[in-house]
Amino acid sequence: MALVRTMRDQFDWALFVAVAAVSVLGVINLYSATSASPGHADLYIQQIYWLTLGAGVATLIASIDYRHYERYGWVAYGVGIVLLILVFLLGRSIRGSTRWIPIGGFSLQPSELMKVFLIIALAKYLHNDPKTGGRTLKDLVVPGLILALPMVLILKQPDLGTALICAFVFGTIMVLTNLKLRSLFMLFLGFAVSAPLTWFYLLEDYQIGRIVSFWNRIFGNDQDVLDSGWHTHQSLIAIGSGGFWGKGFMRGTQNQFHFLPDQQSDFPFAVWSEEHGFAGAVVLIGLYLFLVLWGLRIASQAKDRFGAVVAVGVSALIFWHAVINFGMVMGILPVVGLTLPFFSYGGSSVLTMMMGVGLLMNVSMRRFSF
Amino acid sequence: MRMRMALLGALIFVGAGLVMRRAYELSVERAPALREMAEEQYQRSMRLAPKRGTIRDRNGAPLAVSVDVDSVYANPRRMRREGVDPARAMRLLSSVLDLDAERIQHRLESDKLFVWISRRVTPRVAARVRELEIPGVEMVREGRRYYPNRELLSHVLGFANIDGVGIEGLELEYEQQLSGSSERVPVIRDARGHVIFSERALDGRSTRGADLELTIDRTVQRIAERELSLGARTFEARAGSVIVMDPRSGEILAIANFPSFNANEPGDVPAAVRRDRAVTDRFEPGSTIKPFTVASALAAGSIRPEQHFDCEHGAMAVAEYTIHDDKPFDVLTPAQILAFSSNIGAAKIGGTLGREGLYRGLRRFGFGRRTQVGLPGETGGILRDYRRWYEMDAATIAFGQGMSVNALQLATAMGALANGGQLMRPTLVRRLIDGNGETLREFRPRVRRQVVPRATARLVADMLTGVTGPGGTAEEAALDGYLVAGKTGTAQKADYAHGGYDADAWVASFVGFVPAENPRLVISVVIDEPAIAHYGGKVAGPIFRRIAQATLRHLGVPPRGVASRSRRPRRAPANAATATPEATTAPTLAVAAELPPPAPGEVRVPELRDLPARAALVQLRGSHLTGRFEGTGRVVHQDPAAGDVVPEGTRVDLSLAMPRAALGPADESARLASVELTP
Repeated sequence: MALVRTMRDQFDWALFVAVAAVSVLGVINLYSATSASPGHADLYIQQIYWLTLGAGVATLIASIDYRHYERYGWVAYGVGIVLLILVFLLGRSIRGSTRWIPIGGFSLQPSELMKVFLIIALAKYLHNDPKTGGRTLKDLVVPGLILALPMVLILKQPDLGTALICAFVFGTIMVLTNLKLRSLFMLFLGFAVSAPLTWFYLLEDYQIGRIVSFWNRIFGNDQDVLDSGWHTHQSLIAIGSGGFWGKGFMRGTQNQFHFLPDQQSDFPFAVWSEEHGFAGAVVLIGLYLFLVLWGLRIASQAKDRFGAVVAVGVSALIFWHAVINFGMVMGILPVVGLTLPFFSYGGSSVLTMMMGVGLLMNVSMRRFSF
Repeated sequence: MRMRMALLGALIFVGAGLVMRRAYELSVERAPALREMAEEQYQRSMRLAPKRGTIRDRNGAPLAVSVDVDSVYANPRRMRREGVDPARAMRLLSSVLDLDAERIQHRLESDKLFVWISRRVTPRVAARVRELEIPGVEMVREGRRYYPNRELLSHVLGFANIDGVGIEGLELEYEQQLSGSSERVPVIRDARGHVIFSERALDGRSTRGADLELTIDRTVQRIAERELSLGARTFEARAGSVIVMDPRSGEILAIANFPSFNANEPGDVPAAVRRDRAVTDRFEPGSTIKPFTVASALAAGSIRPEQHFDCEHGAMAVAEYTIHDDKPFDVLTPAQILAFSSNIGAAKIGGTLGREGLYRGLRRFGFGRRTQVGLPGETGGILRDYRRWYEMDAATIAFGQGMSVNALQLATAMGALANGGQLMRPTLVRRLIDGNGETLREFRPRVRRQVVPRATARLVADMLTGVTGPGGTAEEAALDGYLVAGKTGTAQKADYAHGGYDADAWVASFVGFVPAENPRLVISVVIDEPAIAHYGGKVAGPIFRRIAQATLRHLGVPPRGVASRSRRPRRAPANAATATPEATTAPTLAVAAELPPPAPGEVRVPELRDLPARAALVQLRGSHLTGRFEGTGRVVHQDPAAGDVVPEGTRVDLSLAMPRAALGPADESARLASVELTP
């Protein structure tokens, strides 16, 4: 009974409405994006299934007091690592990278789940860390290892986008939890050294190609539209041809005539912008902005450090996903294959983000408890 | 912690701001340029080549038609997407088509959406290409030009090239109208190059080219060509031309040239053979000019009909030259001057006009300028301004030396004497008809001017009957039952290499009209360099007679004294397909009847034109022949031709085309009937 009352009285309607709005817009957009693709026309129905399932998972996660997650934090982390290893043993290779484990008729993408498990593990570590003063680099060794293990496994798949997201989420959490400025500087230096090494030893050719193509575009050398830059080129045309008010629902020529690549998972924002114009883009970007700021608000009101770190982690996850996706669709960042939370099609993506929302809701609802 | 939180919040705002700034830049600032790029990607235009118009004779018989056949093309980009190896595709295609392997394979390896493989292939080849089922190799229907009557009127029709563009003759002159509006229609295509949607409903009829209805009568044309060819061969002439015209309207019923060529295979003969000599070649007319000199003088009042001229016993000195007559004459009237063709008499009559009078008189008959009949390359002949005449010219031009004309000018001018003095504008095209049967433009008979008074024209016409009378120069042009008026011409050709005249090269001509009292036909016969004889009356006269005889019979013009005989019913100008067989087959059968029966094991190819496919097949079977059919509708072309003797079992290639529906709204029922009958 207490649980039901808590759910009713403390329910975070703002969070719910924001997520629901983005999800519904996403389904509508998906309907248009895939209507002209034979064999994909019922994708929006699948997305509704995933969103419903995700809502169920979020409700389940939100209803169990998050302190239980703190207790089983390492277990979740361990499960994530095992799944990532299983990818190499059982994984299905799609377009040159092995990211999925087939389960029945579906495929599970462990790297997606790992994002949430990583947030929980970091939160648990920081929660139990007695240190209250500023953290030095030495204090980053353990959290760094917690990050490094899944990140290396994800990079090996290879899935640069997800690995980067993990790193960015980690960085955001660390910056917020009292890292000393000197340490911050050292981190930056470390990045500067490791970047070239990553470039030569860890990145695959196609990833380098994408970054090179991005580089070319930034510096006006806009010739390789047929290669990696083709996606972005088409995306820019779609967005730009939409104008201020857009071409109207189901009227996007670039999408309907298959000029847009990956319109359902990586580039739905281009479809949205083409059909609803700058006005539609502002609405969507505004929703994400609200969602992220609301997440930070939840973090600041959290009763304990675990809750706060989890809330920051989930907000960072949404923020980086959205910013990087917007950036790549609009040609200011390289194409790294990151989805737009709740808006893109994809079971693993939807489930992961919904787990995050469940955690946020959990922390938000229990800000006055215990 | 709080401060860092606030800082992070601010950073998030900055991030969102940057994203929105970029969205604004793309959707608003760069929108016009990007929208253009989008349109460039999905908007393509297709060139719609409408079906080329048909050329028909005055009774609707097809002279030039377009038949839809298949052309093979490839979409290399699609081939690549479907994983088709260009080399393999090339091998497959080569097994069916005759191809320049290297060039085609190079094309297949390109990144284009459309390359031609082979154009206008036969139905059998098209079927075999279809059987190959190579992804990305497709077919499109294109019009192929056929001249169902082969040699008939080929010089005038000209021909169209592989792209269906007129190259010579009427095909060139009326290219724009025949080809129709070859418009570009905007279409939308997707990323795979498929045409998705055309913004305009494509109506084949509205875009097809206009039909040309000529004044030519196919039967008269056939008669003219047959007799010209026969006559030119008999006299071993180099070339020749015939014009048959209705003097009352100026409508040209036939333009024949020798040698002739098959318009379906224009490349088989040198360009000189394809020349429409009747309008492009000029020659010294010689004596055929005399009637116009006489008419001008009579009209000007400088001579009287009963006046006598001293013909100087066959020789008269002019300047340092001497003019001769073939036979010495004493004193002749103008009528006798024409009948016996006295040069001296003509020069004296011309002299009464003075230089300016003679010049203006001949100009009024249309000499020295183009008739504007609407054929490319027409010559206006040469009639120099009288102020630039030499002293000799004033005398010789009166009998047709020192000037030049073309055969059409001669016929048109003679028409003016025949019809009571009116110079008509010669017409070859009667109507332009659009795809819906509507008349776009009509060329009605037009009088250029009253050249001489009616009475003068009648008088000269009467004088000209003496030419074909006893003792005249053209007794051989006379017809039983009809009074023929006309004038012979026997001109030495100018020797351009040595100056002066060539002693062995002549132009023999006869220009006349019949019946003289109520002329229905003007016929000009010009034979270039006959080898056997060279007198106009001897060479051109018989040709004139034979053409006139057959044509008058065809037109149902009653002979003298049988005026009450009912005119032969003209064929109703109804459906071309139903109207023509009688006229088409009659001459051919007549020819066939004179030929010896074929040897055992050989058969004579039957006339199949205008028959539907089934009937043609039955005919072929009956003759122990096989057939190959191309197109649908009725037979418009057959190879070998009707009457040819071939071994049994020979394959006859047949081209079929749909008959044009109706010629006018009045024939609505006929059109419906014909549509139903069409297989």
